Amino acid sequence: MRQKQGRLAPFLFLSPAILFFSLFIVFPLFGAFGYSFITWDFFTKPKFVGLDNYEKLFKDDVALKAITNTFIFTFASIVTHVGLGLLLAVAVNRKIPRFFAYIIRTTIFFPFLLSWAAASLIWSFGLDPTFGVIDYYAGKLGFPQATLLSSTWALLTLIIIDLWKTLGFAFIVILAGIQTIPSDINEAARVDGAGGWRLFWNITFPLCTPALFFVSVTAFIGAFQIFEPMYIMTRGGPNNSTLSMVQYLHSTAFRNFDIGYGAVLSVVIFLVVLVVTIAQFRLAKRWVHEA
Amino acid sequence: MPATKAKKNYRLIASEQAANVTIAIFCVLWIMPIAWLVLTSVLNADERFRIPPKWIPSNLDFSSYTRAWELFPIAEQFANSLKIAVISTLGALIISALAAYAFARLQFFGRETLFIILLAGLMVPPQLTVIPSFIAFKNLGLIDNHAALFLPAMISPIGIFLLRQFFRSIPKELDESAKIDGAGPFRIFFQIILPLSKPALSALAVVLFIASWNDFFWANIFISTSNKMTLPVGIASLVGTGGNTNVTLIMASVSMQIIPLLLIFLFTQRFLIQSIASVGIRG
Repeated sequence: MRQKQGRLAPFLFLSPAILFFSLFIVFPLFGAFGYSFITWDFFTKPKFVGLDNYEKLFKDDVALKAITNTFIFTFASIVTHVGLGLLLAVAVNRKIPRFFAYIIRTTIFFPFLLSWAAASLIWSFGLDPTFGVIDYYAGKLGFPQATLLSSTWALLTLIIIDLWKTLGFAFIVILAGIQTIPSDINEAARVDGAGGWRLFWNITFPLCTPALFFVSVTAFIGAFQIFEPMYIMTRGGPNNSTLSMVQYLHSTAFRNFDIGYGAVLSVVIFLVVLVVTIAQFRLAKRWVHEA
Repeated sequence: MPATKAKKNYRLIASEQAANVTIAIFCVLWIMPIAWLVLTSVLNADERFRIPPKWIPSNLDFSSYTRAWELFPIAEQFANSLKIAVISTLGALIISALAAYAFARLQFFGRETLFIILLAGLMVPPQLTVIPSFIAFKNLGLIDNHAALFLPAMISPIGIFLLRQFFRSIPKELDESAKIDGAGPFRIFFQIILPLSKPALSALAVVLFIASWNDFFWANIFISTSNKMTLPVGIASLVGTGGNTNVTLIMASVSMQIIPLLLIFLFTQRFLIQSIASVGIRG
């Protein structure tokens, strides 16, 4: 009797997870691949078209634009989050009065807690050419009215907004990474006469590479799936200059009701995230401490 | 010798000052957009939208808050957000904890393989699952229904992973002695493992709650009626309805979401930041 209960227990504990995993991850995963071989608009009868949707991808200039934008955005996002997150963490990692440390953490981290919808609205008002505070101060720096969301600058502006929104996370993770470095290592280096840059390059930087690696992986995944600021602020424009992959997927499937092609775009996003993340982990062995 | 020491001190002070200036610049830039929006929402009509902006108001005017509250279904959307976030979080916690216990403590065939398969679910983004899920929920008549938001949120590979790690760190002697007293796996789970796992469960709960509360991509696709929307979808849907009066009302609604969040954050900062850093998902 007891033995029987013991054998049943794992199944009872696991069945809810397996059920939800199958319904909401496995089934849609295969579904997405399946739908990528059909053409369907929700209303007429679905038709099997083989690889036609994939062929379409290679001739689609808008998709090419969306892919280019997304890669530029993602690359800039990783570089700025790691670089400025490290800069800020090093600047804060000193003897600072507790009150100031609290203010700094609150200020830098708070935008991370906001929804992307609220953040996008704040910036879209701030960038308004008639009354926006950011557009006004940008004017002082030599950007004529309304240039920050013009086709030349809009993508860069969105990169900065993304940095504003999520730098707090990178900063906290890197700061925690620096603070786990044992203080006797720092002191030993100081006794040997290392200070300033040498201390940074030989001790701080190599020992916080695990935190930098973690930030670069999360920054990649987050940035590659960017959607809300484009959708809410620029609608991908002007002239598709800020169109992202996920936004293109969204408009293809849920505005133009091209399910098959939308599924192709979702498969592409999935495969890129998968391949790049695996590559990041592989490359980690070369630069991350004790990876 | 004293000369080099003075030089060293001078360089140290210079680098300290550089660090202070860097921090100050970041803080001003980071707070400015939010401060401006909240401030503009309480300026009276004459001072609002001044260029250059008026940073110190002569008097405050909260009328756009009352008007926004009357005009937009903010209370309903707040209730929707809360309901969906609570159900998603509780569901995901229960399902993850049950599975994590099986992976951490029970012996069964294929345990490691199954664990790796579930963990691989981390790599499946909502952008891939959204189209098939939308079609399935549409066929079930669950579009514009909150179940379409909280059901898929209940499976959390990262949650299963984190709780399994935490459960494994609990000394096995505790369950061994309970076993000798005749406790089965369910009693050990509820009476020993769960009570000892409060730190991990609460950190995970914070992250799951915020993810659900802030979700836009999924909620925007599945919900279309304004009084069924969550707060993020609700405010985003107000954009582009035109006119400066409307802008102030939208600003007031955005502030109504920012201010309570800021107050909560001021008092729970350490706990919130630690939870998010330990779970480590970008929201």
